[in-house]
Amino acid sequence: MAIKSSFLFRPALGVNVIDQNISSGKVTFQPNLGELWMLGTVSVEGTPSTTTIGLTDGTNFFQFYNLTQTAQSSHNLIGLLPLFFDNGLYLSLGPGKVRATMFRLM
Amino acid sequence: MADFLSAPTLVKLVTASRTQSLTGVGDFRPNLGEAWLVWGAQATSGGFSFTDGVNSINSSPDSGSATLITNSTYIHHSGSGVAVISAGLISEAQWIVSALVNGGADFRPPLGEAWIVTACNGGDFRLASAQGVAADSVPYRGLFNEKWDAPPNIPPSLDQNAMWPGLLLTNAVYLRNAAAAGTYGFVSAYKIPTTV
Repeated sequence: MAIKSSFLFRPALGVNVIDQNISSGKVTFQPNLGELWMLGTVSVEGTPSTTTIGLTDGTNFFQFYNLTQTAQSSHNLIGLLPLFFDNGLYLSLGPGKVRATMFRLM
Repeated sequence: MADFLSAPTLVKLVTASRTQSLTGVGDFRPNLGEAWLVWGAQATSGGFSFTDGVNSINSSPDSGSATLITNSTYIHHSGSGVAVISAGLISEAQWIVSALVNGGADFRPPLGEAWIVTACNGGDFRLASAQGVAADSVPYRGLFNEKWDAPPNIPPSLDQNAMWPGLLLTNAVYLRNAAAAGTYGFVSAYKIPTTV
């Protein structure tokens, strides 16, 4: 089967930004039913070992990254992580200064 | 199923390829109105820089980089050896954003636009938003970032301040060159079509 085009360059149906300072807990972004989103940029400044980036289904948290995995443990930045999420399993990150951008594919 | 073929793609935008070899000092500079995406560049004695003809950044579009250059921001080879550069011509230059950013200035999409960074180098680029400027600066990489150890845990051909592609910038979350005025950094990006 030939791959005729790259989804990365199809028009985005929307762009969303999270720009919040979360003192405790996490901030989430849950797409509407039927939507598919992809993470573009994420940066979290916070306390090592407590600040994480992952997906949640509302009950469970699936961690992809935490600040202790960085050498200097104070700042974390990921660009165009091919992390898809939807209404059932969606973005959850924090605490700390959270800056994230994402775009909607479907 | 979505019709992916209806979308403009970067592949479609690249209309021609160009390879140039330089011996000694010379420029690899697109004509006015053109934008070239550099696939790779190698030199026997180094000496690449990005320049606008006045300011320059001593960095390297080494093999594997994907750097957009234009007539106003282009590659200069100052080494004494031989350099080979390959690039693809992007005719739809309206999709391209490429700039030398002065210290204190922003690389920021206007409202309603979204840009994906293809490369940046030099300066002191940090994410900025309504919360201010990120406490830590680059070096960071576009994909999985790790703060550098000392010595930097990076491929030896990649400049310490270089960044791999991928950051999605908007008017709300963007890059600022936090260096002092006069310290320029280079950023290139392409605009993604969006309904927002």
